[in-house]
Amino acid sequence: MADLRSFVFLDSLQPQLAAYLGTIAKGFLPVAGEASLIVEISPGIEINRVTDIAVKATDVRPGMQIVERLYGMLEIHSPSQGDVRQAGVAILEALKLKESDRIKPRVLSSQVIKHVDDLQVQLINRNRQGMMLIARESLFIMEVEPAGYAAFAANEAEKAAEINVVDVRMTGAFGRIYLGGEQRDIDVASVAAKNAIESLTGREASSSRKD
Amino acid sequence: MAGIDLRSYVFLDSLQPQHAAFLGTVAKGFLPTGGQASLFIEISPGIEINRITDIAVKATGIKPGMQIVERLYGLLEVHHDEQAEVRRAGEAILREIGCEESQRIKPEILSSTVIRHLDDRQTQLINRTRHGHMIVAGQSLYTLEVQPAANAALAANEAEKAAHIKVLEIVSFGSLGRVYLAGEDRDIDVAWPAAENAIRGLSGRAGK
Repeated sequence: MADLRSFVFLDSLQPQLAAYLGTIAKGFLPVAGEASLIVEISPGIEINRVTDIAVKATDVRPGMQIVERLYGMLEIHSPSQGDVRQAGVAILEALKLKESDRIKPRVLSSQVIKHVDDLQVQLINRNRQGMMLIARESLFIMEVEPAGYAAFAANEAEKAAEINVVDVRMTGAFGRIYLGGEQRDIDVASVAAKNAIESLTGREASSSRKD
Repeated sequence: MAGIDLRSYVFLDSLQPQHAAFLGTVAKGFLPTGGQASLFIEISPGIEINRITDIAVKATGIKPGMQIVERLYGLLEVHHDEQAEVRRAGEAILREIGCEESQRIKPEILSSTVIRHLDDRQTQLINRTRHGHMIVAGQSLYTLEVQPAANAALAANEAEKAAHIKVLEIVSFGSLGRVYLAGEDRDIDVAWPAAENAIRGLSGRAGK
């Protein structure tokens, strides 16, 4: 019996998040405006069965399927929200789960580094996969658990403000988002990201991390 | 040192923020920061670049960012907070190989293309191979090819000074240099003449 960790529906992939997924995804690449669903379960290996259900039940395209240390993650997308929602329903039915069985996400840490120095920018840029962070921009970093919700936070932040999507890590123990931009935009984006996470329902789950 | 062919001698007075961030992403050596002066030297045969780096680091306090030996040519990028220090490194290198700056190859633009309003699917292909910013669907793309390759660094730096563009990729070594810039049409239309003019403004001997 699989444990449902994340069940994240994105109504409309924003341009930069779509471009970012297009950079990191090993499967079919999504485009802006498509709907997307991210499902994260435990144990990870069970994600193979989840993908089987999604692609056979509907017309969705899988972008990422990742089996990592403990968890498994699947990203699917389609121009039709209906198809993506239907795939989610089929997945939940097969796993004998409900959407409310997902874990209620929580923000583990959130910080803004203002006016980032040239030297620090270089270290960030060597590890990111999205936009570059430019010296003297501000950097917003947020950690969220479970990891899949990082995509939702990034998508909502991109809707709200003119930021650069530097990195979005949506697999593993924690999700992490890195956004760069002018301070005025980061101030708006950081609130949007936090509100997005706090707006989601789910079951309470104890975290492996004690901050 | 006889037998060394000076291909590029490209002095950048002030690395622009995105260009510096880009070099910080691709460079394997010391990373430059915005506002520093930078010098790109390209020679043939490539293996001799080891000797060039030796001269530059022993003669001055510059930091080497990239040293690349590729199929035919060698590239060295050095940078420093002081323009004078970078210029002095350049002079020491030229003295060693018995050349003058004017003996570099006059760069030639091989292609210069604007593709407007990129489709989502095309942006994905570009984003998977670029090292700088991502291009987002609906933006325009500018590509420049220049020979010798190191001159691409100057074209990109001058374009970034002129317009509010995003630097996607700069390839400054190999047989051709390439610059990929993205942005709104209004910015791309300012950036590409700036890039072309920077290349046309350089003197040098005729290339082979």
